[in-house]
Amino acid sequence: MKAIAPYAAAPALRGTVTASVSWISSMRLDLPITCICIALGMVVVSYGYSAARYDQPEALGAYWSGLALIMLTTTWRLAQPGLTRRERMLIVLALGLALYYVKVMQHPTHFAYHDEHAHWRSALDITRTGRLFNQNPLLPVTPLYPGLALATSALAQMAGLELHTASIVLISAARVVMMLGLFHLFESVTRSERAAGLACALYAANPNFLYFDAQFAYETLALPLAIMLVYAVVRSQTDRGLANAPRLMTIAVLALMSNAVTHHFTSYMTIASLVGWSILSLLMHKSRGNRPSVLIYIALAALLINMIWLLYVANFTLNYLYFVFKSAFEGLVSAAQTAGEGGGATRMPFQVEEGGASAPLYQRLLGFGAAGLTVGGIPFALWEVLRRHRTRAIAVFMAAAMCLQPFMYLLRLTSSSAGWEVSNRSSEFIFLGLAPLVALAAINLKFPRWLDLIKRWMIPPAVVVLMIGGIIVGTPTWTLLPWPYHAGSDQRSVEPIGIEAARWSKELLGTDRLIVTDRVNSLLWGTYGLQNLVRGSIVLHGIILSPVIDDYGRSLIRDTGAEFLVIDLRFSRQSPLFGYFYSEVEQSIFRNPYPIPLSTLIKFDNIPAANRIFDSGDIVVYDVKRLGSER
Amino acid sequence: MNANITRRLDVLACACCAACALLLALLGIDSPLLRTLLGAPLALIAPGYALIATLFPRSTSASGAHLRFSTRLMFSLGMSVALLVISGIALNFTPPGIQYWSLTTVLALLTIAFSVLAGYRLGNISADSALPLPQRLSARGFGPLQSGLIALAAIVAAGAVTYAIQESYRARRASVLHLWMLPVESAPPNTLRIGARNISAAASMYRIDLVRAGYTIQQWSNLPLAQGQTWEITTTMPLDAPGEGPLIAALYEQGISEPVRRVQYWPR
Repeated sequence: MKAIAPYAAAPALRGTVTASVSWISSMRLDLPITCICIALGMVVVSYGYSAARYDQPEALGAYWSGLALIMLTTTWRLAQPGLTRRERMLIVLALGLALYYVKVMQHPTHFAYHDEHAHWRSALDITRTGRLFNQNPLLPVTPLYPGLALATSALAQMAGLELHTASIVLISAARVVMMLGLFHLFESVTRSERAAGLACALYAANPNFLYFDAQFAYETLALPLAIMLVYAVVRSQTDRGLANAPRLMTIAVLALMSNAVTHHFTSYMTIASLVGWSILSLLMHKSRGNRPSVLIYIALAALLINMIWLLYVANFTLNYLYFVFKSAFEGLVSAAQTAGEGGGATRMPFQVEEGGASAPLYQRLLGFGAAGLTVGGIPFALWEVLRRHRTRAIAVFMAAAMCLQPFMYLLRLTSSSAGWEVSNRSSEFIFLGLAPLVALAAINLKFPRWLDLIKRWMIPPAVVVLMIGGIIVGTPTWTLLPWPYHAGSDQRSVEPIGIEAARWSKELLGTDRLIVTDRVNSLLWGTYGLQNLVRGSIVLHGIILSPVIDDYGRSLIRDTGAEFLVIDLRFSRQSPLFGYFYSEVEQSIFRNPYPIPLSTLIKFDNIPAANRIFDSGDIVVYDVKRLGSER
Repeated sequence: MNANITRRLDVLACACCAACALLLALLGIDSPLLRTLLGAPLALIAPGYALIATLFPRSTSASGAHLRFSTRLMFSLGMSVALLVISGIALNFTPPGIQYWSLTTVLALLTIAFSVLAGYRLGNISADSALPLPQRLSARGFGPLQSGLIALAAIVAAGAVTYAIQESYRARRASVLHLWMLPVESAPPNTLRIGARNISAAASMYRIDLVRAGYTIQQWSNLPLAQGQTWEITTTMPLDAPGEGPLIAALYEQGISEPVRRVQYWPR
């Protein structure tokens, strides 16, 4: 039954019981059964996580099965005709929330990711000081974009919640905004509820949806706000929406303001999208449906608001982003130059270090399959846009954005880590154009009947391959599940021994002390301990890794003003899965440094000016203040 | 119920929630449950809903502004978050800063103002054009079977999350035993604060030896440390303590000959 536009039907519906009953009777069991399948998928994933915590072999299989069940059932239902609009939207909502709680279940009781700790530190500082822009020793740029930390701290204070609980509540609300925003936006662009639903499932299959855009980090809040504001602008362009243009602009401007103070990259991508779309609209303005004036006002407002924030508050961001993009671009140029000479500056997918284990065949097949499906869907989407939507500026703009995806894959083939970073962070933006257009093509393109049947059956597994392959390419397997502790392995290294040592420091040493430690303990001491950290001191970390310490080394420690060294003795038993313990250059400074000999780690026992003040078995703390006073 | 009130029930609810949360904050009433029940909606939905109700009062006229329930929900949540962030930025530049009572005051006043405006705008819409509240909210229910199955799905999903939480706690149990020795700043030289804490190790009896160059200077025996228990003492090293080198405090567990923890201090 086709959804009835409420405002048009309202006079008939008002006070009419019969119409309400017939509306309700149109709801079938498909929606509840889909919800049950989604819930069962979550149960299987939860079991997979539990098995991983005890290093059981079935963990990964259960995890993939649960994810596949969630995506298969939702994509299958959403691809079918005959659903009501409400059903599609509820399935989309259930999908979005289910995948968010898949991420929550990975580490349900604490923050685990690197960026989560950085933003948590910002939220802690706002809560304890009542002010913004406190220095953050974990990630200096985060206080300049305080939207997420501020909203979390505010919710925690107003509702009397712990920060971790408040973060889950806030991100759940943001996820609702995101899924509804995606559905409305895609529906406006494709003019099809069915394509909108399928497009939402396709978007949820982008590599960053499951973890990166669900973690407690600023993009997680900024992206839903950006999607909502783009929808408000799209809606203001329609015939019916014209009368509402001032109201929708109010919504858009408020969303722009909050976005500008929440995440730099999302704001800049929003500006780029609005400006690009405005230019296309101006060029195509004589075509039906393109009314550029509201769009131009919003684009100008976006530019103005972000420039004000950038110039008066966050000018550090320019340097921060410039070096990332510069490094990525240089990596691409270098790879192109050396491609015919043996490809020294290139990296093959699933390439492993000497002595490392190669990815299993199924992972490589899924990874390549995901890339192939993404790139392979682009020509069909372009054809669909050319056929039916070439007069619509928004569709043309999305098609152009979608064509960037193959270039992003090329960036991954460079040996530059910045190149990989830029490529990885772009998918959630590019998929905003790719998902609706590919969904539209998948639904509208007509094939011979037998091929059409195959197409209908192949869409759900294709979306599963897209999702799982994207996850495999973007996320190492050792971080996907909550495996047991491993030293120097980001979220796998966040555990009670390190946490309690950090808590001890806050209680016995006070806060804001200057600490030197490794990457993971920095996160714990910066949050649980509220300590400051000596940053960017590669030389200092090199001193910790040398087997002996001389006067020069002592003077370097003195010069940084460091008060305490936190040494994790587990580094003498394991090698870091992340690649390093302290800094990324330690492997080039020390040949075969792992595991680090125990004698190297505890060499400070023999230095009279260094007191070993704390021992928890695996973590020891040295007080080195006297190294600063003794000459 | 009075038709005027019925038409404005949603914005009245927003205003009441805001007013109650404001009273709770300003009067300093200590009720965690009330704080959660009133504070969470005030932070996440009420201000945005009232703002959207002001911008889009329910009307069927072509020039009026009608929003579907899903659109209204999306904008309400999004605008609430936006107002929360913008209010916090503004409060940063005020003397009180970002605190529970200042945040609640600003958001409550905004919500009440928007609710009053929305109520006024609803009053300007003719009775024929205005949509009744059930139509506006448009959250019509499902049949009993559908509702039951969806509720079952929600329970199963909640069960999955609960299971994950339980397993996370269980798997993260580790034996955590601390020993520390810190100089006491405002005390005679070589005054030390020695402590031990059992966070999650099994309860046991311990001994702490304070030694220097093989000489035992002090000893504390038969220290029971149950889970969650802390032991601490402040002691001053005697001036005539034998030996040279660092003072070493070693923690021994009953039945184990080697120390399980060791800290050291080099006397000045």
